[in-house]
Amino acid sequence: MHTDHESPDSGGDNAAGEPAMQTAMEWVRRIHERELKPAECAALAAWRGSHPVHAKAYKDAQQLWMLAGLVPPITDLPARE
Amino acid sequence: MSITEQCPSAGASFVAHWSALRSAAQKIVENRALAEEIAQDAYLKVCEAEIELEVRHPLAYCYQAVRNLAIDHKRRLKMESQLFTIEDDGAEVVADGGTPEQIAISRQNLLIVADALGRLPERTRHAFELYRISGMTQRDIGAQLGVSATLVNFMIREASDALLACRHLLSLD
Repeated sequence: MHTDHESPDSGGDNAAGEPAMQTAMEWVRRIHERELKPAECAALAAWRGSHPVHAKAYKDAQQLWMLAGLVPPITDLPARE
Repeated sequence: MSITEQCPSAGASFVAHWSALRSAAQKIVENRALAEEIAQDAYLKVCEAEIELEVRHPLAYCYQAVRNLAIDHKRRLKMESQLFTIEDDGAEVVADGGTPEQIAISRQNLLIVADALGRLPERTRHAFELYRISGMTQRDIGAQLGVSATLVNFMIREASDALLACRHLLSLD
């Protein structure tokens, strides 16, 4: 995890879509793991706002993450609460 | 004994445990009205999901759905309520309103994602479920599975790549 940096590696800002999706997924995973620091929030907002492809990628990554969280597990997971 | 008690569907379980599920949401979002909205949203998603997918532990799945939606909402509110994006013309706009989004998940989308995760190697799937659903840290997953945290990180990325790979099949707005 890129814990020392504010942003994950962006892998290029071209409009090909795939690097943006990778970056978006890194952000989504990071948010899943912990609360973002203010500088990270700002970096994410800047990245999303800097190109419509980024904004769409982030939205799609969130949707993917939501869907993945709604797939019933096949493993017997430890009970919560 | 009623049919519901004999073989409870997740939807039936949800209804039977509604206030407990709403309380679980309320613990996270700290607002009763919002918790009720989340419970209703989760209920719809649970009913839709079990049409297509096998739910082995109905009540646990209800809690899974409620938690996911509540945590998602809480994070978004916290992160985005005061953030702005810069539009092309330099105007600042609020990134996402603070209201809960009732994202209509299509059954087809859920099936596609379930299929993608279903093709992962068993240990990778296990690691991903511990990560995504149980909310365990990568380090704790490593301890649980008896593998290095590095390998866990690799497996999480593998699962993420599988999700990315099915993106083009999904209908996303």
